[in-house]
Amino acid sequence: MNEAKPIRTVLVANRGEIARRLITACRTLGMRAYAVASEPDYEADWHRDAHDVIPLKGATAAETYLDAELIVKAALSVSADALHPGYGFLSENADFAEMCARAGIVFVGPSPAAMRAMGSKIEAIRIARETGVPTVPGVSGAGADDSTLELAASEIGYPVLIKASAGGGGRGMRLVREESAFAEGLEAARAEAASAFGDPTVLLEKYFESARHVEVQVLADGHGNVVHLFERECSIQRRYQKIIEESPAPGIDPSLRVQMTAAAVALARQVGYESAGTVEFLVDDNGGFYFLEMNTRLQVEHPVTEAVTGLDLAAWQLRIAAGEELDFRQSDVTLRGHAIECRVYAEDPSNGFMPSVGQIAEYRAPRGPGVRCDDGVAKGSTITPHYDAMIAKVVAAGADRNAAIERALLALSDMVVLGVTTNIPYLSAILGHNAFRDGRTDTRFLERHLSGWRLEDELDESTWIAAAALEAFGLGRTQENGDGRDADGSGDRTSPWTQPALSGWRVGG
Amino acid sequence: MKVTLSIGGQTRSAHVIKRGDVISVSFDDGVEFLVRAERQRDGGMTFRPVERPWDGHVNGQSDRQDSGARRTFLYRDGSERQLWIDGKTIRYRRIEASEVREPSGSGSLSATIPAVVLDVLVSLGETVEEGQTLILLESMKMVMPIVAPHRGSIVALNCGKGDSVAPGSTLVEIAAEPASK
Repeated sequence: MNEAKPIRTVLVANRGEIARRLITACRTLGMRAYAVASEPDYEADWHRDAHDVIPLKGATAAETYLDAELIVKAALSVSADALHPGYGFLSENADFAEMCARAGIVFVGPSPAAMRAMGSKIEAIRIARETGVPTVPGVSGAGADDSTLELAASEIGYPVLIKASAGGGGRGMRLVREESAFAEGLEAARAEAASAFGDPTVLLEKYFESARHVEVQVLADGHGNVVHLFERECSIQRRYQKIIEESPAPGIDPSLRVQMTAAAVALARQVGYESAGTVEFLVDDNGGFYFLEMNTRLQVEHPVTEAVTGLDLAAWQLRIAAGEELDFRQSDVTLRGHAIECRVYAEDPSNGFMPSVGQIAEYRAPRGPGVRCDDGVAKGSTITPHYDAMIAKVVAAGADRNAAIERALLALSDMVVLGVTTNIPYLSAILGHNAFRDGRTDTRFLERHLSGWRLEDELDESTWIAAAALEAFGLGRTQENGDGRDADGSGDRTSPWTQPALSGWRVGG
Repeated sequence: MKVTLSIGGQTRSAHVIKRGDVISVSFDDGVEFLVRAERQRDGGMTFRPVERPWDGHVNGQSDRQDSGARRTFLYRDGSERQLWIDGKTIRYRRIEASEVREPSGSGSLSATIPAVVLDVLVSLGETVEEGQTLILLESMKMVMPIVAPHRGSIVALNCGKGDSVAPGSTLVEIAAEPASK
């Protein structure tokens, strides 16, 4: 999309923290941002700064944020020049990008062709090999029957990972450690791939017992300029979901960094990439690196790159979509300090990471030097079971890795979320772990170092004393006085008795 | 007042006495502690130890022998509690006195909002008349009487002077008696 079209109005086609982030990016550039909101999100806090909110009927993602036609209609209704899809939902849907183009709306992202090339893992790996980018030993399962795949798995060598070709986010993925378990794993992966993505095609990959997940951020304009913005280490994952990311990556030496970033830029050029994109690699213990996949969108963890490069990635996506040329060269991009992002989820790490829904009774975001909190909630927000449980990202930057860790720990300990349970103490336990501090991060970090972690084990006597002492006060936030009054009346004293004091009378005798 | 808490699978009872901003907590297992409480403008409550540092044992190891402030926020939902204390958030439960008593099958009276028992004007076994004031509750600087809805005898008295009572907790139970002849 080289023809310059001024962008004055943008539809932000997402929700939660990323919608707020994109609304801010629009405001940064003096663009008017409109939000869309499903019924559970009508009263949400994240669209507070939007020019207006277009209400969508329905609660599920499928009938709202994932409904391509509905979203395009919403964009047309406010004469939006462009649409920013954020991450998830429709962000990597090439058909949707084409629909936008047909409707005369600029899709903020790469071309549908580039999205298609990188959207299929099998096709992406083929292109990577063609470009000379190393890939994980593996085979495509397209058109292959079960016994051919089983033979191929033996040739690759166990353990083997079976992945949905059209997948992402860990769905349709099975780890098989030995030949005897292959048939069962294959069947399960196929079934999950079919139900989640409508395509049972799978691929096989060699699985590395100890590997780092490192990704390179690229940024490309429509004028042939492609730069990389260094790498992010995203090895701290639970069930293939990243929860802590940082930049630069510990354990990546300068020569490996040069090789990996060059490979990422070559790949972006090869597919004519435009906008922000991420090339994911596995890095093994011997410094070998292997292309995994390319994410053709803004990543959840983009703030760590923004912190160490000083560039506004979301704003650059919008500027590139408007036809602007990058106003800096690769040699101008420097890495300053270190940044770490922690994803705060409404879930209970002490209870199998069960999602926690309900109303947020108290909320205090951390702040301070080097601390950024991208959130989608506020006090009074309701966490519903309809969407992702991530409520905030706490990003801390410092002069070096240790400084960033200390700031992140303090920021996490300052953050208050009550009413729902969060993983904040679990995140602190990870950052405070010696293996993390030593930079010994790999994709099995959590099962190696934090399995069986319980918050209760970290509590001391002062918790009991404070808990007991608090019972002597009629204080604390209660559901009955959700307006913020303290129950002992130190706050607003108007109409303290909203109900008769007597209730629950049961006539007996 | 007597407080029974269930935190992390452990249940402990304590006598809690509040005098001004100083609170004494005496657990049944012998731990005694004095803290000074200070309400923060943001709605939180800060506790500082009086006389001696916190008993800092974590998993039996004494690694926190400090006298520093503990910042807290508390969220209550019935008997459920969620406490934020210096960055750690823990859910637990207050076990109500009424939970450990057998329901008598008679009429019972309870508070609908958190309150403090200002006075108990009757005693167990006493016969009371309809309209008689049984208990005085105080909440938000207002006094509210709990009155007998009819004649009967007091068969259970689950609160004492100075107790904090949670909404829904049964305060007193009355067995109905035939009207006096």
